[in-house]
Amino acid sequence: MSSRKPLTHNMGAAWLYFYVHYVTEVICFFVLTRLTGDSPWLWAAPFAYDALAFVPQGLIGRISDRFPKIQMSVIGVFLMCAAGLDFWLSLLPGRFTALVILCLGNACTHINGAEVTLRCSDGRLAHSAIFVAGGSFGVITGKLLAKTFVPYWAVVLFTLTAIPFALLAEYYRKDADKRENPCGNFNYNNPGVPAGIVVLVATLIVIVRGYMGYGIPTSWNKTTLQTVMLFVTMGIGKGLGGVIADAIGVKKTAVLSMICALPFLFCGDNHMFVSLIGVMFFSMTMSITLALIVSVLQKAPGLAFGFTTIGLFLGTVPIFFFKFTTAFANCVMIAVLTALCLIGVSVIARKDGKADEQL
Amino acid sequence: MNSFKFIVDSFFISHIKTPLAVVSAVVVLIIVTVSVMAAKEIKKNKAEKSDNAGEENV
Repeated sequence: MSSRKPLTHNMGAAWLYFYVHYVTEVICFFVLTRLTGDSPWLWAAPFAYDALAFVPQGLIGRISDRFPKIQMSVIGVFLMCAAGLDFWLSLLPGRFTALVILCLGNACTHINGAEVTLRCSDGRLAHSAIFVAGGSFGVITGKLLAKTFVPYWAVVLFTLTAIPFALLAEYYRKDADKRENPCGNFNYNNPGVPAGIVVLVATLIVIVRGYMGYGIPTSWNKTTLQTVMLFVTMGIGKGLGGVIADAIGVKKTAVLSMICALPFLFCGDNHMFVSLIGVMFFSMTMSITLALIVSVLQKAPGLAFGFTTIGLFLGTVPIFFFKFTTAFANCVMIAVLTALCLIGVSVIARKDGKADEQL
Repeated sequence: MNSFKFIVDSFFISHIKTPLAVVSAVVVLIIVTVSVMAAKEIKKNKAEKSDNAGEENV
């Protein structure tokens, strides 16, 4: 690589959106956890949430790409606060209405976070990885808060604190948008593979990884502290994935993290620390698939991010209908799907260090 | 030993069928729309690249 910039280049936007993402997941999982305590909602709420928060991000991303002046994050925060207030005061008819508003708010903040961090990163992965990592910390905080006496209005007030962070991040975006093509340095795809195939295979990898995530054997996870450790490790893994990919290359990071994760995940069913190492490696591929899709949709990073979230939803759908019940079956499934992902990444990712070559 | 379990039960089938159908329809519609948008974007990028290559050759 000829023009490497320091890893901290414009990292401010990434940390600002780490917080916005954190706050977003806190309110969403606070509401979801309280809703699923209500038996008819046990199945329906998480499914509707996954569908309505993840899938529309492609559409919202396209709107955000076309109309960058729309402050999607601010809109998103207000929508989530409105939903939180409705869960508290029951102003709108039915709880499903508030859930839909919450999901749309979630989608808006996610899209703006992706737009800002991708545009400000100058082709690096660490920025979007740090933004994505914030979510894992928010999920566990929201789940824990829901089981306490904390009222809805307090969480709504906490959510409002994301607005100054989101507005501040817009300055980074405006600065990045002064360039003709802010995502022009994302060149991680294999130029010999058609762009449509890259999007398709990368999305399939996200689907497979999303499904695998639920099959990871974690019999050791029995206490609240252990659950916290699991989510914190996921967050660290997601962030590290981007940082390591910037340091040693996208393809190497993808292949190494997938292969290294397997033995730790298989042997860690009853051993927390062994399992957590596996989970950390497993989480590292999150930002890599995003970078691959952005590489072929450089002028539409919001749309590109939408494909990863659609993939995540499609990956979680089977979980709602059937599951493997033995650790052995899970391990076989994880091994087979990892092999498929490795083949996919090998085909669509460019050889590391060849980003500047004219092919 | 059966290592495969279906979670969907009669409660779900009888109570949540309609919302599921609506959500599924919305999901399919959005996925198709997003895919078409991506295809158009890729086509546009390809045309821009070939235009640039043509200008360089001139």
